[in-house]
Amino acid sequence: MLLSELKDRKAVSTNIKKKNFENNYDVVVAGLGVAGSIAAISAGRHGLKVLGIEKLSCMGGAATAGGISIYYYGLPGGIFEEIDEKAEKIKTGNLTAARGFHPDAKKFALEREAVKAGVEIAYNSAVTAVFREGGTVKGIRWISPEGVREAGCRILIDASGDGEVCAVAGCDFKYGREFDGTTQPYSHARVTFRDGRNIVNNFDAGHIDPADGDDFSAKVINAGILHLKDKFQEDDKIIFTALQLGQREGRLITGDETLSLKDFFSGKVTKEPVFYEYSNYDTHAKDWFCESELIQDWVVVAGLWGTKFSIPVPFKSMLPKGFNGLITAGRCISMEHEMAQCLRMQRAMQKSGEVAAWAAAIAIKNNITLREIPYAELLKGLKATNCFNGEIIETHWLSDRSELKAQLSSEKPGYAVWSAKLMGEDIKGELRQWLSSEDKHLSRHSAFALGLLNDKTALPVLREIVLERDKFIPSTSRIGSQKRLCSAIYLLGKFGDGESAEELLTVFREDTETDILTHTFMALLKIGSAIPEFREKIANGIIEKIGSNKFSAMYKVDRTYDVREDMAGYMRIIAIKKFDEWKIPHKLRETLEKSELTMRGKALMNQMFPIREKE
Amino acid sequence: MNQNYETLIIGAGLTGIGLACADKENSLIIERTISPGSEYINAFNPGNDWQEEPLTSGGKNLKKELEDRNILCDGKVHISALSPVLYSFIKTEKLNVLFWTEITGIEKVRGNFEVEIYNASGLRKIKVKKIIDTSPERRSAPDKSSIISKSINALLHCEKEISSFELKNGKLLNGRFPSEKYFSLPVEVNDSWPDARKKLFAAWEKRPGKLSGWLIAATASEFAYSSAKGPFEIKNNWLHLPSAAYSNPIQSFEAGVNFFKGEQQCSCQN
Ligand SMILES: Cc1cc2nc3c(=O)[nH]c(=O)nc-3n(C[C@H](O)[C@H](O)[C@H](O)COP(=O)(O)OP(=O)(O)OC[C@H]3O[C@@H](n4cnc5c(N)ncnc54)[C@H](O)[C@@H]3O)c2cc1C
Repeated sequence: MLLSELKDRKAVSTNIKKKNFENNYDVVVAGLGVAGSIAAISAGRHGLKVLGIEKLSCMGGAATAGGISIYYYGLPGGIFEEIDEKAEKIKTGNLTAARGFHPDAKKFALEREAVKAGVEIAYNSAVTAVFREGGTVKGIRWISPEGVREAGCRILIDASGDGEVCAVAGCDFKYGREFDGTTQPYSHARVTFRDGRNIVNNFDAGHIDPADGDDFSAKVINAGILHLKDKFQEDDKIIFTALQLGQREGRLITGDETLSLKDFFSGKVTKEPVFYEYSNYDTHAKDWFCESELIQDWVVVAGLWGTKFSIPVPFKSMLPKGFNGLITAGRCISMEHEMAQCLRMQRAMQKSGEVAAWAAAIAIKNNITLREIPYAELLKGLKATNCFNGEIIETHWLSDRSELKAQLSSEKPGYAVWSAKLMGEDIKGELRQWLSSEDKHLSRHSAFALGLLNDKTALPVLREIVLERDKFIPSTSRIGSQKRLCSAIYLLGKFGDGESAEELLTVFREDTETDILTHTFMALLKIGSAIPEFREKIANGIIEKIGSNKFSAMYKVDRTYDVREDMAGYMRIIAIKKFDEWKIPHKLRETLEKSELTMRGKALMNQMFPIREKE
Repeated sequence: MNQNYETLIIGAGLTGIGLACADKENSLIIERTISPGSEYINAFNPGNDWQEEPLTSGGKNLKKELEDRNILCDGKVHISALSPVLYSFIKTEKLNVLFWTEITGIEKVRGNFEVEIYNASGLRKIKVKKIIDTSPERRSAPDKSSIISKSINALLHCEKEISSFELKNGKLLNGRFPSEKYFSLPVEVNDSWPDARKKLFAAWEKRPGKLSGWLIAATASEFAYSSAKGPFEIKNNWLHLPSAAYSNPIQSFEAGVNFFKGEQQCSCQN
């Protein structure tokens, strides 16, 4: 047998003599959080012998111990609804009112159902190793209050949130965005009692490397301090600070199928969905210049941060590639970073737990592998508990041209901008006409639509937006909407518009806000990449500013709390990479060495200048 | 994080924090949760005897800070707000703490201890000369013999003040604010979380009608233990000094701060 462990961030497997286990389970659920609790209860109800292992002393993970006891969108259906009803009954007359649901009622309801379903629960315990034969999982090791324990299992469900157990087993995973390999901000929720009820206070505490124990611990402390007040008062007394760090994103375990937002936006979706998410591109990142073009098109230009869509999820995204007897449930299923911003909400995560349990039950009862489960049979089961009910909410794009025009000339143009992009060639003629409209909204938003359609007729209007420093913020979404100036600068960069270079350098030299500065910086680099003759001038303009030791570009991570990150080092790394590529001499490395890099700066450095390990 | 430390302290409870203060650079605290002071804060254990004067300057400062921040007044405490104070203390005092980290093995190698730990980075080994376990259940060498009793507590929100009240089952304790109370229900030392939670909810459901307006705002995620006072020797240079053996957070803290000063005699636990 192989003993797989994670040692200093690396998966290591050792051949051992072990043949079998004293204790054996049909299913082991690692992590009894949002997904794992439902997986364990459901598997128990299927009559399977189930062991649930949880680091904390309760079930429910982020929804209970994590303080996030509130649903954010998602779709109805599944056993979680019945458990929520039971939690509501537990609360009535005994527990305080709460915005959302009451974490303690949910905790107790989940536990009661698990015990009733015969689930054995190991609290205050952490999975630390996986046993396998080749790619087939055979059992696990965990540390418990009584010491180290081991057990065999036929199916292991990794519901640890962060895909920690899969990482231990040696599965492939990715995390973070392509640009710098970092994840969106983390949080540490606080539940206080205000206006007659428990209220969740959630904020962005900075950035974390979720796979680094030292960084994790340091960030626990940084976040914990943010709860400090000069004077605590009764009208906002603390009920508890979260027992789990608010990691919104972590490892994404590579599966047989990987969900991507790009595919989703272009209509490539699974024909074998097992559940649906319904959410928006809910990132808390605000440094948009580091996001992919797809996301900048969606948020920076169209302002569609808040637009929700229904995402079909195939079972294959829950099967770690190359492994048998292993299922992922929760926010670590196989998807790309961009999709992970949408697919993580609690209703959907609970559904994923239920899917994992149904799959385990079908595989075990029929003595087949997880990959051999017929889709129809899995679906039949999921329909029986209403987990899969076909209920989705369609996102309707505009097709009516007068409505399109009306919205483009409004303060909420985003929907129309994206609809026009989807209409493609058909609408270009009208958009071009609207460019010259007296109505500023119509003209400028039509330029955005044409920009997304890669149509250069948009350029004069985009340049005009920059000349005017148009800081109007359309209100398409509550969050994430950008100044028109930033949208235009981004598009001019995407076009590689040489004619804008001079004006963009002027903007760059100005004492301006970080969002404008960083978008201008990226646009200039893109223009330089497109037009070699401009390189020297652009590089000099950039070096003049960021080459100074005094240069700083403060990015505000949270709106209310004073959490900031200096992007100066970050920008220098990007510039060094580009200028080296352009073969332009510079001394930015020396400036960089004198400044201290943030965790993300270091991650970017690794991404852009990877240190190759010796074979 | 370094690989070698003089002292490994298990548990970022108040005694653990106090111990680390004695030799900040050479001590490492390993805490399996993400919470400092968990034995009071997460247990919803407000402690008692707060009127007693602290004996150390560290203890005095901590008490004063709690009073200044309106967390402590007239011996009554808003225990949940102690949490950010401790996070801040750890940062300003530059204590080495690894949160969310398990101890998975301890081996004695040439007079030192080789300790295997597990966290987000996976397994790692550190070397230490001395180990002081402050956890009630002695996580480093599981043994419950120093536990005298345990309770499961809940934080209550009470709209209406009711004059003092004896419960048949459990106790009511005051918090810092009139609307803040704690319900403390003794359970068996061997009761599991599901057993204890079941008892807690059952007891609260059956509370006297007079208390019907008092509601549970949160239940504890840590048992409130009463432990025998250490230190107890587990092995040579490996001690158990339970943080839950004292009356309140300041006293637990001072037990740690004073520990190295006192050259205390160990009583053998096993
Ligand atoms: C700050 C924040 C705010 C959010 N806001 C909302 C919101 O308002 N509404 C909404 O619907 N969703 C929200 N979400 C998203 C949602 O809560 C999470 O994506 C979801 O909880 C993920 O479910 P999970 O089961 O994968 O992970 P979790 O719920 O985190 O559960 C994972 C469990 O595994 C345990 N575990 C980890 N490692 C191990 C191990 N080695 N051994 C044993 N146990 C282990 C953990 O202790 C935990 O209990 C938010 C998330 C965050 C972080």
